[in-house]
Amino acid sequence: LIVNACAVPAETVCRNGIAGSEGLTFYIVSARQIVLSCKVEQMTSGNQRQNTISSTPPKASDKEALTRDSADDLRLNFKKAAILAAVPITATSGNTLLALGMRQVGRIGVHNWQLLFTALINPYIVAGVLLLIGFFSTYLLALSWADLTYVIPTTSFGYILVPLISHFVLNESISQYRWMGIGLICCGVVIGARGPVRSSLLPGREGVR
Amino acid sequence: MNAAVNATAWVGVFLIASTSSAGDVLTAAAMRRLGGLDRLYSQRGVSGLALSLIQNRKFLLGVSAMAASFFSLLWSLSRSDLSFITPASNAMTYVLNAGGAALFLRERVNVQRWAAMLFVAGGVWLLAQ
Repeated sequence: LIVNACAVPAETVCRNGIAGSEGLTFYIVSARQIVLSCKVEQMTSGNQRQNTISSTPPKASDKEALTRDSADDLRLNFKKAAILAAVPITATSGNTLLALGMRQVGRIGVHNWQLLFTALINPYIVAGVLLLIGFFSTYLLALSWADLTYVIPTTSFGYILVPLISHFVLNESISQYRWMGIGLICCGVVIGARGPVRSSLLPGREGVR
Repeated sequence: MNAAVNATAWVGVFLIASTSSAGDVLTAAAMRRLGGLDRLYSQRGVSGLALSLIQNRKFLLGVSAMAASFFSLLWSLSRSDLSFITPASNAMTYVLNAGGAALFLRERVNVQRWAAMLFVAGGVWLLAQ
């Protein structure tokens, strides 16, 4: 397979041996890339297959993308799910701690700007800032292996954390509109989490590299 | 709200959403350019990772756009109601992000992903009601 890789189009390999379905679009220059392309092909079933068939030769960015990434990058595993879950949890808890800290410190204005330094050593605010740093780090980490349109809906359940906690822990009432909103966001998260985490690795979508 | 306030509020919403979306798209483009951050961290360490981020022009532009979004939010909140500005700008950001990701990041925003973004946008809007 490795010896013949330079001459054999991935399409042929996919059709005859590995994937057993319609082939990919471009010529691959290593065995690893052929295996990857066949895995990619398997994931482009159903309504995601419309862009896969093309007779154009490979672009440099396609090769670069396939060389750098592996087929595992398309799947959601436990580690990625944990990072995606950490994004809204750290954001919500960080904002909550900041709000608690600022409530302790009091309103900061021009006449009492020195309070700003008091705020910086408040334990709630320090913890909140650390959590928000954690939020930004996990957000960047998620964006480094997932699409923006994958990360945003799947991390949006942070919006429903506060209403649900306030309802079930603090026994606060939630209006009908809010329940509908919570339901819509849950649907959005579930729908958004389906499919590959990175669509730009699929053929014909070289993306911004 | 009267007509003038409405127009100001909508300008604020558009400013917040467009700058926030630009920040998200630019940051996503920078992260994609850099590749997996965990791999980069194992290769170069924390200082190398931070250096790679700081040297990336798209990342810096993205963070600047996020900062602009924050100041737009402050500007809007000083002129319009929080109960309108926050949900409207959040919902619009979701829609602009989906469009920006398809247009600039070349992501495959299929019906499923559009539906997810619109569901979340609608949910965020309803949560603020």
